[in-house]
Amino acid sequence: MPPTSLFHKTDTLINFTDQQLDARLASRGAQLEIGPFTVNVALKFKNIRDEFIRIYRDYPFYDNPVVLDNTIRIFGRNFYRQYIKPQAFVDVGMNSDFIPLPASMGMVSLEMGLNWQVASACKQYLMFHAGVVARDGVGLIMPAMSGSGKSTLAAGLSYRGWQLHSDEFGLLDMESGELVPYPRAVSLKNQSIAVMKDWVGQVSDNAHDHFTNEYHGTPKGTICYLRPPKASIEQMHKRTKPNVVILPIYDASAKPAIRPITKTMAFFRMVMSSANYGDIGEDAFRAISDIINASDVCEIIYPSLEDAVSLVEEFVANKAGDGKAGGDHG
Amino acid sequence: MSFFLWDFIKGDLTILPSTQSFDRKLVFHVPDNAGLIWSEWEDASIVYDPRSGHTQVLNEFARELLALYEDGPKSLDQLLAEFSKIIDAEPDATTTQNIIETVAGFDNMGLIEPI
Repeated sequence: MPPTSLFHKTDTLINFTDQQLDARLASRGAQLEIGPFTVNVALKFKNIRDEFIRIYRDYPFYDNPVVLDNTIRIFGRNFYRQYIKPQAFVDVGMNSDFIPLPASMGMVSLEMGLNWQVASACKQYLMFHAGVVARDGVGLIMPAMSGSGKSTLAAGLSYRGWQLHSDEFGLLDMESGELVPYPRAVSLKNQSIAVMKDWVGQVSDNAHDHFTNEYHGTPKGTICYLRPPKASIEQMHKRTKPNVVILPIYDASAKPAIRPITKTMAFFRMVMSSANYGDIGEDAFRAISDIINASDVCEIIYPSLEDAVSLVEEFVANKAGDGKAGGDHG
Repeated sequence: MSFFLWDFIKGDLTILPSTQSFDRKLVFHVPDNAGLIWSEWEDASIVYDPRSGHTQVLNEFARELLALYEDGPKSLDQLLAEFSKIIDAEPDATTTQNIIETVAGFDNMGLIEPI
């Protein structure tokens, strides 16, 4: 368990054994904290609980009572669907109609539900579809479309010493101007799974323990989830102001390169990546303008994860050389 | 001389209206309650309109034209006359057409309105 001093509600933090956590997940649910959100997770299927515990066991869990942001429950809708061709029905406590997935899809249903809750209900933070990492006062946002490799790059950086904020949901506190970490399991797809298994294997003796099973045949192909590094979980409340925006482009045949872009282009890529820019309005415009004003911006094109990490570190090092990196805001 | 104007709200791209029927005598102005908010960078200006929630990017040419409307109400002919003073020449046919299209774009996006 990480040091409790790093978490918000230390008075009700609880140290579950895996068995205790399994029992709680199977019954009334366990209250899981990920960054700014606390969600009650109840899982009726044993295989999903096993995967969940493997990925989330190092996260803080709370005993009653805590204020919950969300609840999520995954269960078989009736007796037959619990045991015969089991289907995982996802109840996110909202007016939503998820098509049940085969229970064998395990974590896909849970992560899909958590994504839905944040994407549809989070209005207090400006949200970017972006990989976000931080290190030594550098808050790096990498806005990109699905399939651009941003999850792989964010995860890759996090396993080389960067703090993972998120591989998918960048959150900005518009009052303080700080990036808010939300270090969920990293969603890896298709070829990136093998890449990340090799990448994590270079720094961990038990790399397989960091990954869920691979789920084949999803609408996005094969999916596998990766646990963020322990340091990123421990630092889930350590915020950083954004000061670098990099647009990542994966191209297997490209020569690795850092390309300049205009601030206007970076601004609109941030706007287009934001799920709630239109809902928030003026404050969102001001917040993105502030980010771009404070940031060095570029585009990187890369054929491999190793190249991408090198390009990011080169760009950031040059920025640090210019004396522009700010301080931490933990 | 070219210009571009994008409407990026929720990914929609505004199609500029036809300028065939643009009334040159109409006097346009930027409404007092527009409250436009600007971010300006080296290559373009970005304006947020809190009334519509729309975000537009204007290049230097379009920004200059809107600035003339911010100075006070004008008909198209008055705008062309002021623009001529700025460039110290009569705008050619292409430039004039660009100006008309830009003004029509402003009108379509609600950045200016007729009095």
